[in-house]
This record gives sequence, structure tokens and C-alpha cells, in this order.
Amino acid sequence: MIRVIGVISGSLLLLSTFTIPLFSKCPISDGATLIVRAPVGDLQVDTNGREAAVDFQVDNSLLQVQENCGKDVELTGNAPDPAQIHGTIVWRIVTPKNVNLDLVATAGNIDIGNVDGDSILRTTGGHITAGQIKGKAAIITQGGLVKAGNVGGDAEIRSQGGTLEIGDVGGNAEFHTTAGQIRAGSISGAVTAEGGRAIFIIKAGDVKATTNAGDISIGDAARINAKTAGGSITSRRVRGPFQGHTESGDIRLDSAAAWVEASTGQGNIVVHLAPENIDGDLHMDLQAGIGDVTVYVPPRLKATIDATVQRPAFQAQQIISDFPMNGIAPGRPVQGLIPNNRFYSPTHSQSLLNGGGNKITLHTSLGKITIRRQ
Amino acid sequence: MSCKDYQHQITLLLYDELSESIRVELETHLQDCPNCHEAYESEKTMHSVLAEDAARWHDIPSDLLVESRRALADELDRIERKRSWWRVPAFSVVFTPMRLLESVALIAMGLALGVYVSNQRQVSPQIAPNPTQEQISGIPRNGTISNLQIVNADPITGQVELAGEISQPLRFQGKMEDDTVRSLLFSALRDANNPGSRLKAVEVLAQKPTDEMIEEALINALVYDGDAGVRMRAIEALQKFAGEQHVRAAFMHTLGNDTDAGIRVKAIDALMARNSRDVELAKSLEAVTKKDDNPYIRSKVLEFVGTAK
Repeated sequence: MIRVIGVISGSLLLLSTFTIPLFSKCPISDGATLIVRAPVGDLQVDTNGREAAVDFQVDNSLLQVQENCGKDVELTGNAPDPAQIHGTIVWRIVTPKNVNLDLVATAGNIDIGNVDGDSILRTTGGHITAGQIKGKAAIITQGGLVKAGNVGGDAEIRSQGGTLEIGDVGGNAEFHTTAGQIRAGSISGAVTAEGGRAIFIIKAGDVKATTNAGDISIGDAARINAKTAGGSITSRRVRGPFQGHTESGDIRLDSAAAWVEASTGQGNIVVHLAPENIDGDLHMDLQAGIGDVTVYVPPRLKATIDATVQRPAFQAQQIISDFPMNGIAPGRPVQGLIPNNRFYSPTHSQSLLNGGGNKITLHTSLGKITIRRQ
Repeated sequence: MSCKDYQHQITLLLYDELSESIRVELETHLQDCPNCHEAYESEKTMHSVLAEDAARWHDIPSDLLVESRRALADELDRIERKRSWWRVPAFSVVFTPMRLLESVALIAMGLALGVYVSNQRQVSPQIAPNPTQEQISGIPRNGTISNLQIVNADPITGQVELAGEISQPLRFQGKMEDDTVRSLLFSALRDANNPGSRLKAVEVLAQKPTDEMIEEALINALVYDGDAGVRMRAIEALQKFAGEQHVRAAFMHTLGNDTDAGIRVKAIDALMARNSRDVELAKSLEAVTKKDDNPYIRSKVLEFVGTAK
């Protein structure tokens, strides 16, 4: 009997060394920083703690955690022998939300709730999910996706491949991913977005967006500089200058308040010019390789329009305009103003609106050009 | 006909290229002759295997059959030319019913040709349209002509022959099952200069990843596409099939070779989710990722190895 009890006790003791979670607690004050360095395992940070303290537990006794309970709380784990790890190690941390977070998971995912302070979240390859962050945010993973709520301050979000999804940002924002999408809400400041696929931004100040492949869609921006190797560029409203280039895809601006420079290798360009200041710089340079160019201009605009179709379609009209245009004979641009006749459909036309002014250059190698009254 | 002759006809029978009378004759013979019947069964088995295999030959140029037929026709012409003149029915000394039939047919064809030619000559000035007009009406209005050359211009007849290239905008609608739709999508996947087009093609194809051809196209995109975004989208589409052998092989290739850590992370996550407790896979993963510079991937593999054991 004693032997049986001994065996059971021994087994339980042995078992407990592997399964008993490690508990600990450190006091933490408002505005202090919780620092975690996890060499292995996922980090789960619950920010609904009501006490002014950090509770944490790690569900694997192979991991030894060293806590430093000073003004800031620092939790550091040793790196156990990987061969002895069975299953996923999880760090469960409970903290009040009015702290800053500085979390590093060397090989795991990070999941945090709402935080009033700043947050620095880094992992070498896991996914990162975060609630609302009232302060600044730096969220970096080498591989996984990032999903975060609103950020009150500046935001820097990076992943080498994963998709980035973020809510509104109160400051400036930087987004980088090599193979993922970027989806962001309203950004008060400037944005730099480099993506591997589509980029969607609801609203922002100055936008610089670049993607290797995929569409760029910006709802409303103070200024846009967008470039994609293959995909469309669209904006519902740009309040300042626009520069955009796509190797293949359409460019569409529903409301452009200032000058526009847009080019596409293959695709259509449609620009509705709706200037806030009719006397400002409103030049346009729209170039399509294969595709149509359509521009809507206000009748009060002072402009010198120059439209060229390099390789006209067989029998279709090349340049369609609501304004009177002068056709220019090919090769004789200086003296060659000729009236249209049945043998000649102009492929290069010019027009002066309200005496001329802003230079509007419209060019397509293969397609048609349409100039409409706004 | 001898058995040897009949056996030569078997292939044509399987390709349904025999005339009705010969087919009936051959089928009757096959019922009576065990040797020829055996030869027929053997040929038929091979034919069905080839037919199954041929269904997977999607990349065969469409003009290959045309070229083959042309080569065959040329060869038959060459053989025909070698035939002695006296074997032409009109000069044949062997007067059989078949020869008589051939001769009658030849005479009838000659007469018909003569009537046709004489009629053509009579009516051609009235019904022949202006060749230039006819050709222009065949060119779409929105087409763009390039590289136009004047091949021939006869000042006497006014006949002009032009050659060039025409391109026109394309808009095509159809279901994913339609061959043309698929061909266009696969064509977009091969557009080396346009990653955006490739990405969109993958996105559309990802809607039907259960289709074998589409699955192969997605695997190709995952393994060979130069754009990380396209590869990532392909792996996202394939991840729920990570339990299938060939998809698994593609994911293993990705783990070992893809330069983008994000895609490797996606591959490892998908493989682990779909193949838990697969000891062999665990060993392979350990070998493939041993030197991976990403600690997350190494750690996940070790975790998987521990769980699988």
C-alpha cells in the first residue's frame, strides 16, 4: 500500500514539474512600462486588470521567468531546450490598461487588449493582434499578420509578408509589408504605405503609397503620391496635388482639387477636376500607354489643352471634346491648323480655355481622349 | 484483306477514322478472328490510357494537331506521287468493279469542276464584291492597325493586297468552367510584366481551388511567381488543401526556398493546422527548416515535432 502511494506521489510530483503553471505578481503604477522578453511562446496580455499590479503565469515549468518589479515591470524568460518543449507555451499576463507595453516574443504570437499608453510589440514571425492603443504604436513582425484597433498617436506597423489591418491613427503612420495587404482607417497625419498587395486607406493627410502588385484605393487625402506595379489607383477625393503611376491598371480620381500627374502603361485614366482654388496650379499631365483618357474640367478653368492619340483606332473618333478643338496635322504642328474633313480625323488637338493658362497634356498611345465640361 | 491488313486498320478504327464499309468489315472480322481480336483489345487499352493522359496535356499548342495533319497529308502526297502512273484508274489494266466506280467518280468530279469553273467565269463580274470593301468591313471600328504593308497593288485591275496587324480591346464574360475564361486567366498568370494582373488572376482562380487545373495553376504561382504578393495570395488559396500530397509538397518547397519569411510562416502554419500528428511530415519539416533564419519558424517546427511524437 505504502509502495502504491509512493509510486502515485512520485508520478504526480514528476507530472507537476511539467504542468504546474508559474504564477507571479508585480505592482505597477500608472504610466509605467511593462517589459516582456519571451524567448519562446505566445504572449497574451489582458489589459482589464483592476489592481495596480501585473499578474502573470506561464503554463510550462521548463521556462524560468525572471521578474524585475521596479518602477517598470520587466519579465524575462530563459530559452529552454526546444527539443523538450511539447505543445505551445503561453504567457498569460494581466495588467491594468493605463501602462505602456514593450513586448518582444522571439518566436510566438502577441495578443493584447486596449492600452492607454504607448505600445511596442515585436515578434520574429508570429501574428500580432491589438485592441485600441491610445498612445503611439510600433508593431513589427517578420512574418505574420497584424491586426490592430485605433491608435491615438503615431503608428509604425511592419510585417515581412503578412497583411496589416489597422483602425484610425491619430498621428502619422508608416506601414510596410512585402506580400500582404494594407487596410487602414482615417489617419490624421501623413502616411507612408509600402505593400505587396492592395492598399486601402479611408482618409489621410499626405499619402505616399507604393505596392508591388495590387490596387491602391484612398478615400480622401490632402495629397497623394501613389505607385503600383500592377493595379488600379483610385481616390474619391484628393484635396491637393496627385501623382500616380501604374504599370497596368486604371487611375480614377473622382474629385481632384489641385494639379494631377498620372500615367498608366495599360489602363484608363479618368480625372474629375474640382478645384478649391480656380487660380491655383491646376496643370494636368495624363499619359496612357494603351487606354482611354477622360478628363472633366470646370468651364471657368483657364487652360491650354494639348491632346494626342499616337496610334488611332481604325474608324472610331479619337478625340472627343465638349470644347472647340483645333486639329493639328501630323508633322506640321506649327503651320498646320487644318479643318476636319472626311479624310482626316485629328489625332493631335489643342484648345485654349478662357484664354489659356494651366497646361493640360493628355496623351494615349492607343485609345481615345475625352474632354468633358464638369 | 489479310490479318496483317486488318490489324493496321485497328488504330484508325479506335480514332473513328474508318469509312463505314471498312469499319463494318473490320468489326465482322474482329468477331471471327481471335488473334486480331486480341490485337484490338491490346490497342484499345493503350488508346484509353493515352486518352486519359492526353486530358492532362493542357499546354499542347492548339496548332499541333493541325501541323500533324498537315505533315501527314504531305507524307501521303509524297507516297501517292511515288505510285506508278498505270495505277491511276483511267490507265489501269485491272478492270475491277471498284476501279470502275473510281473511274466514274473521277469523271463526275471532272465534269462538276468544269461546270463550276465556267459558271464562275460568267458570274464573277456581277457578284464579286469590291475586295477592299469586304476586308474593311471585317475590321472592327475600334481596332488599331499597325505594321501595315502593301503586299501587292495592280494598277490595271486596281486590286490591292494589304497585310498588317490589328489589335482591339477585349472584354469577355463567362463562367469559370468555360475554356476561354480559363485560358485567359491562365494567360494572365503568365504575364511576366504585370504582377497586378497575375495577382488578380490568382484571386479569381482562388474562388475555385477544388478544380484540379486551377489547383495546379495556384501551385505554379506559389512556387514560381517572382512577386511575393502573388505567392502569398496563392498560398492563402491553397492552405485548406495543405493535407493533400502535392499541395504539401509545394508548401515544403516554399518552406525551403521562399525568401519571404511571411510566406514561409503561412506555409508552416497551414501545414501544422492540416497535418497534426504526422510524424513523417514532422521529420521532413525539421530537416527543411533546420537552417531557417526565422526563429518563429524553427520554434513552430520543434513544437510540431514534439506534438507529433
